[in-house]
Amino acid sequence: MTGDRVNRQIKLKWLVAGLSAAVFAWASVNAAQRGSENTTPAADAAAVTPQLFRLTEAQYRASIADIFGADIRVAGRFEPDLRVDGLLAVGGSTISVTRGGFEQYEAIARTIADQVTDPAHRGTLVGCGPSAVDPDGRACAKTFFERVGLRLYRRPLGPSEIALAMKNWDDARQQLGGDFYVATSAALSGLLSGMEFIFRIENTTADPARPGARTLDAWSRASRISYLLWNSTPDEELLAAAKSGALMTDAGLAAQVDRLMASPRFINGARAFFDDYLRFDDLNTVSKDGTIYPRYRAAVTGDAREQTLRTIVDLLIVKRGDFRDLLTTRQVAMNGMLSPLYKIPVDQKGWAMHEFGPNEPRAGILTQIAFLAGHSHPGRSSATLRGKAIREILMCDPIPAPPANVNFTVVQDVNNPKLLTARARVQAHLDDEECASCHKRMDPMGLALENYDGAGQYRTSENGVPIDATGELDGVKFDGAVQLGQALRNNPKVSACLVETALRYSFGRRLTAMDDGMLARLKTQFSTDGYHVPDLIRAIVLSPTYYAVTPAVKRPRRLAQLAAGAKG
Amino acid sequence: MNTLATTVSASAAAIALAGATLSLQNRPSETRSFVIASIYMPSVEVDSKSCPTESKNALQVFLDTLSPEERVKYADPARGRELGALMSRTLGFKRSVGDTPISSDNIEDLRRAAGIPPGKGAIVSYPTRHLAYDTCTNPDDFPTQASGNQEYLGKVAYGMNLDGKVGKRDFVGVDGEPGVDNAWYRAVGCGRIARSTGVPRVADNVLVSQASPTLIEVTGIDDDRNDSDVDVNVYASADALELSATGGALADASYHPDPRPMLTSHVKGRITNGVLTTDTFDITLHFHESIIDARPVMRRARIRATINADGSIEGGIYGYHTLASLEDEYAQASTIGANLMSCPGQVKALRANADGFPDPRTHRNTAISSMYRFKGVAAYVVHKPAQVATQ
Amino acid sequence: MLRGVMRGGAVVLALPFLDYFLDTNGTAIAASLGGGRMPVRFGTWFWGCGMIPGRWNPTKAGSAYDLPAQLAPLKPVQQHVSILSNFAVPLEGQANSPHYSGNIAIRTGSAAEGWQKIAAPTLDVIISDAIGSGSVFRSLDLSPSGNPRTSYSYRNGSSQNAAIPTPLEMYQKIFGTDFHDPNAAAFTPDPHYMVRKSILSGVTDERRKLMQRIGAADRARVDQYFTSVREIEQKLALQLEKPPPAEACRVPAKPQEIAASTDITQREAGHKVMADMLAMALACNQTKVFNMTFSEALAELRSDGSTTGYHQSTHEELTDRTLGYQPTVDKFATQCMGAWADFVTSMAAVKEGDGTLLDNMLVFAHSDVSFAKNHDPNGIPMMTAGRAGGKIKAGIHINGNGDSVTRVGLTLQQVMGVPADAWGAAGSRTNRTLTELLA
Repeated sequence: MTGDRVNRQIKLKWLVAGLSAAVFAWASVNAAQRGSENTTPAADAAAVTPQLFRLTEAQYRASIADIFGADIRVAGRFEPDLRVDGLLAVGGSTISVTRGGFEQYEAIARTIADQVTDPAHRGTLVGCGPSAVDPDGRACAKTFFERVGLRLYRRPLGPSEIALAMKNWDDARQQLGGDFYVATSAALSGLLSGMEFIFRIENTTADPARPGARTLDAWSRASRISYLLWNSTPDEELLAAAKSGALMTDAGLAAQVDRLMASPRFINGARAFFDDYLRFDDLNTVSKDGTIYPRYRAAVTGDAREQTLRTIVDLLIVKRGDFRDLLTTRQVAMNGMLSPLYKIPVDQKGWAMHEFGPNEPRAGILTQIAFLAGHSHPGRSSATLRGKAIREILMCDPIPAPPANVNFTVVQDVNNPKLLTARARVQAHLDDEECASCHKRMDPMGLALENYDGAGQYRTSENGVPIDATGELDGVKFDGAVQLGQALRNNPKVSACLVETALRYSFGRRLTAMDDGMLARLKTQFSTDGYHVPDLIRAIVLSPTYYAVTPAVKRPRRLAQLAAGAKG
Repeated sequence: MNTLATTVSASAAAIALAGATLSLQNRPSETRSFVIASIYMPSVEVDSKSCPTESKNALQVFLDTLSPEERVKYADPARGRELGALMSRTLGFKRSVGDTPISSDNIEDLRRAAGIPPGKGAIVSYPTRHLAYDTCTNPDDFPTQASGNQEYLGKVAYGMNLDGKVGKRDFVGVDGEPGVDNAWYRAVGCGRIARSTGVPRVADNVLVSQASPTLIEVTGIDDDRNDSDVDVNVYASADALELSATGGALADASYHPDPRPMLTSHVKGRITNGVLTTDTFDITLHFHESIIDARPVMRRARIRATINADGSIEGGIYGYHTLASLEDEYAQASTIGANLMSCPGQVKALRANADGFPDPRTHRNTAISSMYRFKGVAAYVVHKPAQVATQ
Repeated sequence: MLRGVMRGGAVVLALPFLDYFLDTNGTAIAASLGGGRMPVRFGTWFWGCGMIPGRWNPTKAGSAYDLPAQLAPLKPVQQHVSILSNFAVPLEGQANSPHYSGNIAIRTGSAAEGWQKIAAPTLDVIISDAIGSGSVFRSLDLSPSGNPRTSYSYRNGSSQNAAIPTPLEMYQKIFGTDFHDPNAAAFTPDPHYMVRKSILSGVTDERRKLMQRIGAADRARVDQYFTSVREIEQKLALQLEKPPPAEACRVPAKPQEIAASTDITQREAGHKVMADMLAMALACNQTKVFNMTFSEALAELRSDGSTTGYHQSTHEELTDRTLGYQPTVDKFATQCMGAWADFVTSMAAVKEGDGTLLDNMLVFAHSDVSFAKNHDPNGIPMMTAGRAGGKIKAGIHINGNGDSVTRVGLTLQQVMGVPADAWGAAGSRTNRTLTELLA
């Protein structure tokens, strides 16, 4: 049977992998021991941590808003970010820019540059022009590019970069009629089209704390913590701390980290993390059938995303709450676009916190529309999609692809073709042994959410049949969404997964065996200190490992674990 | 000491009794609210017996007054606009122009500037508020236009028996109810508007008064199928009607009532087998669309409506529509379509058929028996907390 | 409606036109011109969730093939369309990843379980690398889905060519402010392009310095970035030259925005608008290579008011005992073929040279699976439309008899002038051209 062959192939693959892992383990232990003494500059080191991270669309927009002001319109379509290992932040270190993508960036760069130099903005943003002492405006242009270049590239421009900007400025003046602002716009668009703007590029320097070792330089540190904590470009004060060398000292670094985390702008960084962790950019393609769900209006998806993010920020950042309470909180941000789906009255159309009563069936982010509708079909709920999302997103437990040759005729009872509830429909998954191996990890949890239809609306029956929302997770029984939330809250995999995801997000890359120690420490700290997400982020950002540059053999953590098992 | 003990024990007994009474009805009573999506005068399907002719519209009536050659020329529908312009010139219609908001300060100036005779003209509101003097705002000034209205001669009409009598001219209701009083329908039922857009299978799906839909709030419901005592509040909404993904009225949205007392009504009612019927009351509705801002007034009116299991409501408001508010509504509606009806003809018919609330001085009836049919969906009526008066 | 001035009365292509289409690889372009004087365009057309083999595969091989029920929409365009049935996907010991393996094997020549793991660029990228220069757009990636990720054009596993996802964006991109009507009488090179071009060459000059600072792992990414910059620089250079006249070019009117939808009827409407615009983009020589993705591999399509969409139906719908097949699935698959027929019709509607635009095209249509219920990677439906300037036969049915799909990919590349003797990795490598398809 094909299934057997597939199984054998899978087993063979793991055997081969196990053997390779043993070899790798030996090699990597040696490499690690050598790593701390290795003084080779990054350019010559073998595959190390990535140095280039493409800004996400949100980061690009936030950076422009911070540098040039929120009223500068960034119009155009960005090349989609790539989700690797569950995170766009990790994808950012694997992607480049396609031809079509660069064309977009170049066009966006020109529209930004035109606005910066237009009559409405040039006074504040350029701040000088041709004058009696500077008739062409050359000196002004040079000062402008130096100042703006520092903000755009997050480090001072080198002499050749300034010379290039001036060359572009001169060329443009000659070709386009001599206007100062037209020329300045052209040269500015050149800066905005540079890889140094579109990507964060990290550089290393000698580590002042460990002779012979290397670490991220001050400008790279400024970029890293700014994009992590504010999801935007370093501000003037942070750049000054980079310039003065403060960021190369523990005290200086901590001072800036604390400043950024105390600012209301930390909320932007937190939102960006949770948006990525929950894979909310998939919501961009959610479509719901308006005939089946008339209360699900076009703007609902965007507001549902906003609802969950606001709820999370309120609980975890503003109130510094326990992360696990995300699964059980009765507090939710609500507005007039969403209230009809929740069947509750609202005092105002705008956002306000709402609290569900103790007997209401809503508690935790799994009972919010972003999750429920985001992991459903356009006209139907999906226990499997929701269960899969819980496993992969909340428990870091990836589900393999389904076997290709699923034979449904064997499992469907043709004499009773009317399957009235989702539970009845997915029973076939659990009856067949091959299907059940994966589906038993997903369907039971998803079925507990069946009181919510494909639009997230509460119901007690489907096609006239009362909904059975009972199930079990790791030995804990539950009946319905609220109890499922409780079971997940208390399941250690959920908080462990959050820590791991936060670490991957912060690093912007896959984790390797080298990260195991740090990961273990963070997990322990997170649980003993009360599951506070800001503390977790702070611990990551103030760890020297965060800035260390060590040559490591790049391979997946799983194999490393296997290798460690095989060795020991 | 004895008295104290007695008092205490008496109080205890009273409390116990109260507790017992409460436990008998320990479920708090419910409130069910609705937002009205469509509301209109319903028409039956007419035929050549009930409407031997169609009521003439203003253009047709005017056409009849022209010379034979002109009649031939302007009979061509493509010349409709020309004919309208000719009618305007010939009859002397006037309109204030510009976007200046009308106030008590400038209304006389605007009137003079537009050449409207003193005391004439009315404020109509499409697309911006202006003063108009035409057959709808001052129907008595254009008597030549008063002909051409065909009264409805059929036996069946929507409505309710309002006066308790079964008169010779009364209708039979669409559900067989005898003695139905709906003189409004008699007066205008053969007009183009009623016939084409007043039939429920069409009109039930036309959203009306989207800027300020009517809200119905039923409180004190202990049993939503049968309850002998409920309270009904009717409000105009301060919020616009919210639409669903398919363009109909959105269920379960939240609305604030318009605070103005004249647009708020209260009446007691009962629910029998899911049908809500109220006592009689006076009500001022709010019809607010892009083209209309009208306040229909119904006197000695009653609501009778079915509350459906899915939370929707459908039924009617039955009562005596004041002529003044009805004529104002026509004035509002006609500014974009004088060709849909002839206001003087309709107003003449309304006044002739008016059958309620005689004026104590003139003894002429000032209201006409009528019915508005409506459909609505479930909604939340949200009352803002009482503000402390700051004046 | 002719625009601009035509020299003499006859339609004549001036010599600069031929020069215009030469690039560094002169051989490739000569081949791409085929026998005719028009450039041969290449494109792919994709729809998800395959078909029902018993109702799609013609029984008769060769010309005048029969049209089973799901191919009925092809009747008006059958003479333009060749069917390639019964080819096999080489899995090379890897698992059959549902909705991925087949699509990847057809487009890259090798098996892989996911797009992030592919070993080679997709064949449309190979072809556009060979023939795409000289056009304003080296290739156009399109989808009426509203989702830019609905695209199966990849340079490598981390580099997807995102699709233009709506008709209005497509119009603005191709016929917007940067469009130069090839038939316009006057052409004044715009100095802004000169400035933009020299700015980009300055950007490229910085490459060497950047490479010195970058580790080996990231060098390929930096390289790709600068290649992209250079290609846009080349595009700007083209826009400084007067485009050669294009006899069939009629600049389309700006379309109404059609909201992207997963409802199949609305999807078809958006698709038709984009297909007609694409025909003009090709006729106006804005590109020679394109990819149109009608629906994604998991076929997110549905019908308004129905709770179960296309993909769900392929798995859940029971075979009707009277009919012998899944009726909802059948309906969706047939509608997809209707959309394909629409596409072919749009291309055939444009007169060009002695024939039509379609005669000078090679469109390759395919899906990700054959029978979606069990994700069957064998017998994946594939078709060609057009004659590639006379180089291939249209209107025939070729039964692959279990041969590898890589033969098809190899043949397509060879027809389009890519110098390839063989294609595919390891076990799926083939050098056997599908000669039955060649004219």
